Amino acid sequence: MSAGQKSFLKRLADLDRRLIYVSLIVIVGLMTVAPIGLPLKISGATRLAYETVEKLPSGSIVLFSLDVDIMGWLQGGPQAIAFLQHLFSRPVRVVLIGWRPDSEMLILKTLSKVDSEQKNYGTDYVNLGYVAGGETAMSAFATNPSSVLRTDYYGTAITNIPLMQDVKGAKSISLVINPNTGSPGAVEFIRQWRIPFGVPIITSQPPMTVPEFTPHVQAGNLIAALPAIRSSAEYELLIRKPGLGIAAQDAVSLGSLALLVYIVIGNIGGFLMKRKEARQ
Amino acid sequence: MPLAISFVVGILMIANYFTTSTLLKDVARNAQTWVVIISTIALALGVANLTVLHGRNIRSKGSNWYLSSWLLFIMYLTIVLGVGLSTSNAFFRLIYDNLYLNPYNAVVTLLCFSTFAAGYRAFRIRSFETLAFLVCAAFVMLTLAPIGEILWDGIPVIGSWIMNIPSVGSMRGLMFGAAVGLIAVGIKTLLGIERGWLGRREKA
Repeated sequence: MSAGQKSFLKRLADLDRRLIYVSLIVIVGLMTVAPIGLPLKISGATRLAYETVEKLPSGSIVLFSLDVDIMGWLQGGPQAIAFLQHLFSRPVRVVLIGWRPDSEMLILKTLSKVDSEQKNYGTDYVNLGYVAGGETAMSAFATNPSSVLRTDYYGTAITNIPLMQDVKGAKSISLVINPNTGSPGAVEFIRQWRIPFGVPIITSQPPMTVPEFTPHVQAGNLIAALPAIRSSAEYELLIRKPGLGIAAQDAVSLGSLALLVYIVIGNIGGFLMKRKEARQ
Repeated sequence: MPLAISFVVGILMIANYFTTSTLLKDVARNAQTWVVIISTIALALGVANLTVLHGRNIRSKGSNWYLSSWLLFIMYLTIVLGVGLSTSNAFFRLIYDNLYLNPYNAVVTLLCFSTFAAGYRAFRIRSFETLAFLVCAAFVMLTLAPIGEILWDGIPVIGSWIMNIPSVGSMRGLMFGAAVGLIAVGIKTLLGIERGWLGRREKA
């Protein structure tokens, strides 16, 4: 093998990482500024979650438990916004709560991104903020909400909030929607709400953790476990409110394709180099 | 004493989960309320611990003491603003968004670059297993991205099969193993055999 050939194959198998970084910046930047608008198919799980919310009777109480942390906000945030936007477009009542320290501020952030003009605070929705205590607090709330908090996030006594008069625990809740990254989250809801009280649960998770929850979906403990980034785009299409989820899809698509191309290039270079060296 | 308390409370909570006794439920509800209160106090304990740790570093001008100063300054600033003005206050949210949320997300997105470079170097086919791993990873990645179904209709079909059948099957096995292990650890903790949670005692 000539020195030139060896050098080319070596470069192929060992690309300068600056080339990889620059190409990634160019791809993601271009797709953000000038998206192609790749078509998106709606998955069965997302459609099932959407139809579950659509079929809720008027006046149902939904627990929207935002258990996404700061690190997972980029993935779980668009899905949480899409869920809440859908809930606010339906004649259902929403109790917003979180069991992680970051939940409080992220609930405010989510509320600021949805259209809540048609909804009245206190009768149509209430923000309970962060409740400390993890799974124990979730269990206590399921039996007696006033045992874990006396006021909502804004300091109003829950006895003075009309919606909370109808929330006697898990038995009053028609559906739990839980955008989640980590613990406490969907697993704790299954243990403390689904199994003892039979409350249906929809969750969204980072894509790499969805296989952990698929057994629960197949066992009937969860209605759906949605992979956050992809399902947020699908959900935005279903509710006809394009947002961050759809905006990210082109970048995700081409970024994934670019990674696979680099992997193939690296393997081709490495394979050809080994073969040539073996012949010599 | 701590072992006796953990045994009694543990048995109480297990019995509460599996029975419908009203008396047990009332007692368990009280215990749960105590845990919620203790958890809240634990947050304050965390603040005190950080203050002691970083205060010591600042006093002794240890490594990166200026970063410890910044940490304590920002921590107490947000505590004072949050308690004094409330966390819904615009200034508090300005600090939260611009000094915590956005910088944190920026650091997280930097991981994307190192993941790319690491994926390029790590995914080298050296055996049949690595080839199978790479093929499965490729199908799953393209299933989760819209471009997969554009390239070929079969990609989402195969990718979904991989995610729903072999992946879930092995995850189910892992979950059973973890659950059995958790039960064993729980029983050992209740019976006082497992004492790591009590903390270490210094030998005299």
